[in-house]
Amino acid sequence: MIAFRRLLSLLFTATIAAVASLLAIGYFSSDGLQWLDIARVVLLAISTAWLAWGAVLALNGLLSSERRRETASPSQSRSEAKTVVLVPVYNEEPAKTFSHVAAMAKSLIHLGVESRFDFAILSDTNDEHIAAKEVFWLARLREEVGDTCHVYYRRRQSNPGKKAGNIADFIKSSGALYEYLIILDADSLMEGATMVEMVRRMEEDPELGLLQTLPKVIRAQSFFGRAIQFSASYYSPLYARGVAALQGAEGPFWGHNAITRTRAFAQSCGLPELSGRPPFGGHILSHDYVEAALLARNGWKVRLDPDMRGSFEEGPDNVVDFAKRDRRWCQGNLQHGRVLVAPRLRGWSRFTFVQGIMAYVAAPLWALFLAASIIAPSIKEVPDYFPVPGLLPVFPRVEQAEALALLTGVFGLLIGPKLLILLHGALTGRNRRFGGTLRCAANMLTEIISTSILAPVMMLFQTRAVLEVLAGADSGWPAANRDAGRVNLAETWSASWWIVVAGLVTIGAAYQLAPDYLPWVLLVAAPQIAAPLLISITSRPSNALKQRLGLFCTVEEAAPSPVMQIQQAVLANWRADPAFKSADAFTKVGMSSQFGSAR
Amino acid sequence: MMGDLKPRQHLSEILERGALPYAPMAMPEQTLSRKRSFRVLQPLLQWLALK
Repeated sequence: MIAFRRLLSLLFTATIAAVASLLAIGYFSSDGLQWLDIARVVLLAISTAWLAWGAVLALNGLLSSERRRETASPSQSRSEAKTVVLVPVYNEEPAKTFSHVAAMAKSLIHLGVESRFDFAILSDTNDEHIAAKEVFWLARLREEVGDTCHVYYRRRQSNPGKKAGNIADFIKSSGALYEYLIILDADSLMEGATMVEMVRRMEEDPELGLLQTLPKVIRAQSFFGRAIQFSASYYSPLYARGVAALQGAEGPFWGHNAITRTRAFAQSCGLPELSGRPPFGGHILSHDYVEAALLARNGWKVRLDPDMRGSFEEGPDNVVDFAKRDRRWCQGNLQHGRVLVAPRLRGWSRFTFVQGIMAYVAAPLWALFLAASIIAPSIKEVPDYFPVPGLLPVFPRVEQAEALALLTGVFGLLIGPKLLILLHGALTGRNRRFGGTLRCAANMLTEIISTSILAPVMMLFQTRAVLEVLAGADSGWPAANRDAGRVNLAETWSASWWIVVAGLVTIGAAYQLAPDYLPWVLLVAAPQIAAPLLISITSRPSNALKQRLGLFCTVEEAAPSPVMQIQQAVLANWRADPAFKSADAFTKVGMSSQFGSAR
Repeated sequence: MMGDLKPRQHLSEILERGALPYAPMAMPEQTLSRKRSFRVLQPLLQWLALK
């Protein structure tokens, strides 16, 4: 069944790409086909195939019935297996991260299952001041959750292998104590009931090596962040169902908000360093995809269960932070080109690597297509209007219909799946949870318009990321800026002035080489010229729009999950405590060197 | 209250209580690179070696 589904999906994608190529050939050849036209057709075929693949995921999600696996109540789950919740941290704000741990621990205590779960905060923090704060807040966290729930903490002096190395280090030193590992990020949040259910599902299937949940994005404040949050809440479950339907037992691992069988992970996921220097050599940056492929190679099932609720994460709140994260992910995904040919990997695991690579290569391909389309008219030969002297002129055949069909097709692939999700929501009643179909439609329209305006800016950020990686530049391991919100014009200018220049160059080139295309080129170049302004505006808090118009309202905002409420209360309580201010004083006593040797 | 913490006294205690239990588990390094195989050339190489 899954093989048939995969074959059908690939055929659909190939057909769409073939149709787009034929239409493009028809349009480009109206005034003679040249080598640049062939290049344009190839670029368009690859880019359209990638768009079609996105649509295929949504279609698979819509067509596969929402298979809600049986969910047992936490009290029914009698497993005695011991699980550890791993929270890797790296120069994060400790009060916030530890309040997440406190909330999850309290959620487990509330269910009376805390004895089956331990927490381990695995610090790779190399900022001594933050490291000192971690110790301070560790003590506060212990006070908060009491002795019934164990919270361990260890800090590595150096951080070989980064996050993957951090987790491997834990397994090598303490893994034998635990049947399961729940792997989180510093900004992850999970309901106790969700963790219990994850363990139950692992117990249910002894061949299951890793179970990935679909984390919902929460706590976004800005227009940009809330647009992503809405997309993640409204569209992603359907796309994720499509991913799950196609990947089956070779499912994805996204690096966090997942549970794995310790034995399977230890047996399969010891990552070697790749030969050579970064960005293509060195330690594996995007380790999660590789770990999923290695688990599948060793015969373990890797599954995505999108029906699992109560799993959350936070996301970047502005374009600059989004682009920084994307730069790192871009390097990690392109590095997978080295792993693509690793021995004995499952075919679909290799294809997953290709998808990851395409997610980033698509941007420079579109940029190249645009550049080629601006140059093409200038190298066309002047048509011969009088092939037969003396007779009436013969005008070149302009294939408007092909051009229109092509354009409609591309927009259809971009917007069609979203419209289908809206329709599906209206028919199934899902839209009610998002404020009704009308509100969903308005939110969708706003999201499509805003992401379309930002798309040419994102295209250039991604193109630059790909070029930097290809040029051998390493992204390093910057700490995630999880609390950064609004960025002012000076900051956005310094991050995006080169996009403004690129936009101006594009308009100048179009004016010189393809004046007929200028209105179309403006649609791409104008947002690029306005990039600093757009990035700054979209980073502003959008609370007023949310309250007045219900803009980008999500289920999680309308009815926050209990663990979200607990976390917020804990953090507010900690911040109101005079101890919050004394954390700084506490950390200035010069004990960093002492606890640095605590390992 | 945490504000009352006496840093130097409490530090080692906090970290001692938080130290990870020792229960090691092996995590063998996986092979991701293909060893280049010269199977086709092997008879030729052997012949050359004999010469």
